[in-house]
Amino acid sequence: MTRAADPVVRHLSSSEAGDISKLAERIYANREYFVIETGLLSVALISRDDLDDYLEWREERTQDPDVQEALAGIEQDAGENACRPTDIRRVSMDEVGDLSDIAMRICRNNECFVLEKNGVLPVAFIDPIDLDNYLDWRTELLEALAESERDVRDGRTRPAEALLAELKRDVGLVPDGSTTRRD
Amino acid sequence: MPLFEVRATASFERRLRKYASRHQDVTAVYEEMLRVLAADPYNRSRSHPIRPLPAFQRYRYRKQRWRFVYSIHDDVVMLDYCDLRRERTYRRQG
Repeated sequence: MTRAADPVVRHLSSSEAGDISKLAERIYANREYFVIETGLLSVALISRDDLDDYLEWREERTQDPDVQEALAGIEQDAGENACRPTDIRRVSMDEVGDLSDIAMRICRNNECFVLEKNGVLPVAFIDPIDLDNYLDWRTELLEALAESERDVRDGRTRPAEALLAELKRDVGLVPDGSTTRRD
Repeated sequence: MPLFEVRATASFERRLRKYASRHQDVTAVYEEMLRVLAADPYNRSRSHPIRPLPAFQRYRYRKQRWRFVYSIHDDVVMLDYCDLRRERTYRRQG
């Protein structure tokens, strides 16, 4: 059952964050999200499952001309370090030790990182501002899916082909004698 | 002979009708998608613009600026959601 519960985002300093593997366990157990402050910049921590959906959101948002312009600026600044929307970089536990470096690369190069290691639940590091926008997108989708599930439960479904036939008739693709094409 | 029955929920229908009244291109995209989903909703052929959305336990079909989200229950594909591409502006930090 899909639930549109408000996501829980917890803000931590890097000293409070401590062991990433412990945070990873909380992410998976409680569906929490973490934003870790590292000086001037911060980094958001999400699950591997969320990363797949986040990449979907990232890719989708690149269709927006405003976003394309912003990304072009990032690419120009970042040069060969620039990250495409669907690219992910893999990092080791050692590299995660200094989150400020990861935060800087996320901010400068639009990169996102995934930590996959035996014994540690896989987590990803992303831009915290992206996290806000992604969670808005996710909440909207979850609410729509919950409504759809209620439809299924209450029997409010019908063959998709029947809807297609009606749409075609409505736009005049299939004349039915009473409908004309709208210009 | 379609392998899967494709059905639409009422909320999906409301969304699609709303879009179709303003964007006639969605009808052709929808028609093509129905053909694909009736035959290969899991995208086993890897030839369709379909990918799983694991956190939502759904799949999405994306074509041009349209995105459709659906679930699969045995041999029934249930259309849950459709959307026009986002217009949200990307914000930089700082």
